[in-house]
Amino acid sequence: MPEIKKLLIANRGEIAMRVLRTATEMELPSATVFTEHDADMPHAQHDEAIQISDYLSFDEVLNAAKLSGANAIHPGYGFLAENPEFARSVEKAALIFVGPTAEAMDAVGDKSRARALAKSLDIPVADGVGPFSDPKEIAEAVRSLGAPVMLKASAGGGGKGMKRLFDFDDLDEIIASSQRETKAAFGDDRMIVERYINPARHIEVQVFGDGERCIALGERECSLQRRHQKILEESPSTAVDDDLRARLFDAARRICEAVGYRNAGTVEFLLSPQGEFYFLEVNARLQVEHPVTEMCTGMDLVALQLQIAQGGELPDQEELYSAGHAIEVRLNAEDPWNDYLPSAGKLLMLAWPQGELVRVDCGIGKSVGTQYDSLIAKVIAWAETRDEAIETMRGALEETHVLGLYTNQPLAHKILGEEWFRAGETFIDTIENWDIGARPVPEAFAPAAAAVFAGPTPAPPGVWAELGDWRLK
Amino acid sequence: MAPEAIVNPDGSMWVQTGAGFQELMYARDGLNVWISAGAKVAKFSLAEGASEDAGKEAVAPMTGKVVSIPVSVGDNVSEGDTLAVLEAMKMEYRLEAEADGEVSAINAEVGDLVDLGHVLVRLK
Repeated sequence: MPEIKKLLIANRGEIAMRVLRTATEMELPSATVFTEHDADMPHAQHDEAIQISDYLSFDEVLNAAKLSGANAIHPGYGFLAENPEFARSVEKAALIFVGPTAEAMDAVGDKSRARALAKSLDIPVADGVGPFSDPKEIAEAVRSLGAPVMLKASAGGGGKGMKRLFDFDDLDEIIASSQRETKAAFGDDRMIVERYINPARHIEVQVFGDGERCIALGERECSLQRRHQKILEESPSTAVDDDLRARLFDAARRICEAVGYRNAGTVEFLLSPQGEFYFLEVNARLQVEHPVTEMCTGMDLVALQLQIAQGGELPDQEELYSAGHAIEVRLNAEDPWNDYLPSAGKLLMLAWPQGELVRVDCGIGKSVGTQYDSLIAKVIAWAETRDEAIETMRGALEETHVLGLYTNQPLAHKILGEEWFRAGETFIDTIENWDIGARPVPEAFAPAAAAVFAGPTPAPPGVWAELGDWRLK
Repeated sequence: MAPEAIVNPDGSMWVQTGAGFQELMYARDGLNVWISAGAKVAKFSLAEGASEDAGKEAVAPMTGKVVSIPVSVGDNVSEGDTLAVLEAMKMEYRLEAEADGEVSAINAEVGDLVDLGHVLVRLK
């Protein structure tokens, strides 16, 4: 396989910056793309940033590669990352696609095919049918499977188009909305209909393949979700012991090896309270929550992706280790106390926590718009034990200041302090069934706001002397 | 005597509470002030006063694109019926009727980009 001489990063925001960090560390020349909405974002400030009209446009992304002289494309996650036609176009243009082959994506990226494959390998799967494009067929499938069911995009994840149905009221309208979201996110409106297993945890295994052999780097528990999007992930899972871990790793590796999987992928499972697991899907890309695995394994997964894409060697399973406990909180521009509605606006202040065991993956500009998704940053904390990791993360969130729009920061902080969270009682419907109460507003806030409205305080020198070092680091 | 609050120009401030001075961060944008401390955040606005028509309007809760308005002027709707569907950040949001009523006005078309606070559908 040829060497990567220059990398085009075909994504935006935090993941574009994440890939760029590794490329820079590897002294690999790189270019980025951006759209007019993202002109003030950090990825658009790269030395070589090429404006395009749409992150989903094959032609414009391929053209940007040509223009910049890049011979490889890293798709990040979302957008073109799991589109086999795009992977084919990249290869046809004699460029390296940093990800699985189009054939492997065809085989596992499509949920219905992946499910059939798992079944053929005697790996348990949840009942399901599809894919269907025709809304009538989808409605029929929903009715024949019976409530509760899940509607899912066949072509991708991220909660786009996903709906859980406990009854069939407004079914046609829900299907139409689901297909619109799916089409907008993946350019493909095929849906699958699946039996909903409840209560369940969401457990996933990070895998890497070299086209023949696959390794499993660790599991992540991502049960805490809202609107079917993960908000907090951790590794290891409190529900996975060594025996279950070995079986999950084995299932994940077998599915990927069966399709000659190459590069990074994630195999997702549902885990019942009794410890039975069901294969859900393969995410044929690097995932949002990959830092959790990086913190525990000490590996740079983007570097490994780039290495594999150049025909480099895959580590042996026996060489891998995982230590301590890592937690990731996704900071989303949304208001949990207003039905999680997106919160767009100007960013008036942004201050991140410091500390060796805390990592912040961020890539936002001066404002957050509504054109793209609501993830603005990820805060990741590591410690030797889960309890310590929880404390480290709480401290990190207390040092975080995002002003100018609402985020889920206070909610994440609240979750970390809950008894059920500390006890590891985390299921996919936990957040939905949990009363988050009123927005927590400390007593000092209202007088503080009144003082701000009154204007800055003139500084009598005596006061500064009394207070000493008052500035935030 | 120490003042009750010290507002520094760099976005930090101190407020005197029962337990002594507490440090907070703030940001002001016109009529809005954001306060943050200890992973808690709140917004305070000088502009007050909810619309008298609250409950009789479907108001855009965020900037977004109108993807569907399944009602027409003159339609009778019941509480919980969908009046409009907005898309923002790649997710769709349904605006439901908060009360029974008759659709008296529609102020947007499918495909429009509307701002926060825009009244999409009015009931009487």
